Amino acid sequence: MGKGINGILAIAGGLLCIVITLALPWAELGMDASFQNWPEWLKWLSINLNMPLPDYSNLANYASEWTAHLKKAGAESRFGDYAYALVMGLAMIASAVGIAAIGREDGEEKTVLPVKK
Amino acid sequence: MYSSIPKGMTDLTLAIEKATNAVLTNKYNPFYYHGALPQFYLWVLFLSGLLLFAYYIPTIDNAYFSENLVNAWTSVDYITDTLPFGAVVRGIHRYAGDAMVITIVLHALRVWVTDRYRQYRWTQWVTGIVLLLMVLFIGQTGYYLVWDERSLVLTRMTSSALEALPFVGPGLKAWFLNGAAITNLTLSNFLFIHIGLSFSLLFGLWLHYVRMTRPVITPPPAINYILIAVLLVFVFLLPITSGKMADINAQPTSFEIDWFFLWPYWLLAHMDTTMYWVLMIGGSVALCLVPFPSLYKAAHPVEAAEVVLNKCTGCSFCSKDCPYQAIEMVPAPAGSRFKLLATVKAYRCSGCGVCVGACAFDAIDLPNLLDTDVTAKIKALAETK
Repeated sequence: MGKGINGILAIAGGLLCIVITLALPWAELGMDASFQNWPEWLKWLSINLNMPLPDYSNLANYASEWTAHLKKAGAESRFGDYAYALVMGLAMIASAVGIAAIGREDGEEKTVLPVKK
Repeated sequence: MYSSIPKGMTDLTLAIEKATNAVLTNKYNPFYYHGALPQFYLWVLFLSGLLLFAYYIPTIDNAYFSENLVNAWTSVDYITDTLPFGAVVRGIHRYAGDAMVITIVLHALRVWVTDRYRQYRWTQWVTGIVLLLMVLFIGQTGYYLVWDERSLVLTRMTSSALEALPFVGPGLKAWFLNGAAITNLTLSNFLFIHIGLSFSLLFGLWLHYVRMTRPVITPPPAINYILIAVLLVFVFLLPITSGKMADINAQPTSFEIDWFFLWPYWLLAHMDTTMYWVLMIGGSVALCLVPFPSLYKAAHPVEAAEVVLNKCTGCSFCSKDCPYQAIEMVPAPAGSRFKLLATVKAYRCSGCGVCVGACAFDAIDLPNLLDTDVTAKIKALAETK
């Protein structure tokens, strides 16, 4: 039973890592990650080595909601930076949960009494 | 009366700690790092402040760039709206300040509730209160630096309040404004106070730790991640913005108040200046005096450890193990076979007995709990089981 739950948790954690890993460049590149927003060197690689860059256009609808919130709260520009902060914050919370879950066993107090054999 | 209030709260605090332990284990229980949390935020403030300092211009109007106004407000505007991740760094700096105040207050509350603030710990309490006051003042100077309408109102309110103080008032006002009126030099002074006083916190922290052998000043990585993550989430949820640029010829009347740092200004706006100073100075002194009144005497006064002179070998194990630096190794008297001798500073001793356990020569004892008594109790318990 315990092993089954651990397996489910590991899969959920892995999926969360993938989502966050994809969300970080999406946020950093202004929440749409269109080709012109990617760094110059990546664009060069993409053109010259025929290496496709991820397409985030299907996630642009999230950008409008997040941007609307930021504008309402008084932010004027660089909305992608704020989004990056949020995604990075969520990533750090997930990391902390992971670290604590792994280190939990070590953290439990164990009293070992010396027994003469 | 006094002892009954903390007792119930102590039990409640310990129950919460126990429940937290059940979920997080003692390794990740933030209650065990309550003093380290504000310390962590201090490092965050230093680092983020350094990045902001690189782009900040502490002037009201820079004469060298007068055609295109470059001043404190526009430099903060540039940091926020143009500089890559400038808004995030600014937000982290601001929210780390708020978080530091919250964690300091929680730290002080926990220390008070668990009765760890008096007797041999009075130095930590008093230096802690002074550090809190310093942090509050440093935070307020941060609000002046933005140089929006709120900064102007706060500057005027502070200079008026300082001027009202008897004897030293006019001098303090001139020091605060760096002259007779608000000029470019005023903002240079604010920046100097903000940064200079921040670094003097390190000296205050040294005093805060000086009587502790092994202070816990670093939380584990998982807690550090959460501490930073909270700031980042707030940067997105509540972005930090400036008000309108301050106009020295205008008289702004209202501003948004941050309750963490600016509550003294709310008091100042709602009461007479004399009453304000009586309340602020009196409140600060009263907080510092919390550990002292005789009616707060412990129910069981500390019996300091005593060194058995003819048994001490000067090995210094007791001195190294003492959590409160209450044992000092001094040169042994002439004629002794050993070089050093342990001496107990009674006013620092908590009577915890760690030194008794550290000594391999039965050379240190608690007067009311001799080594032989402890051994007898352990034997009796073992036999019972």
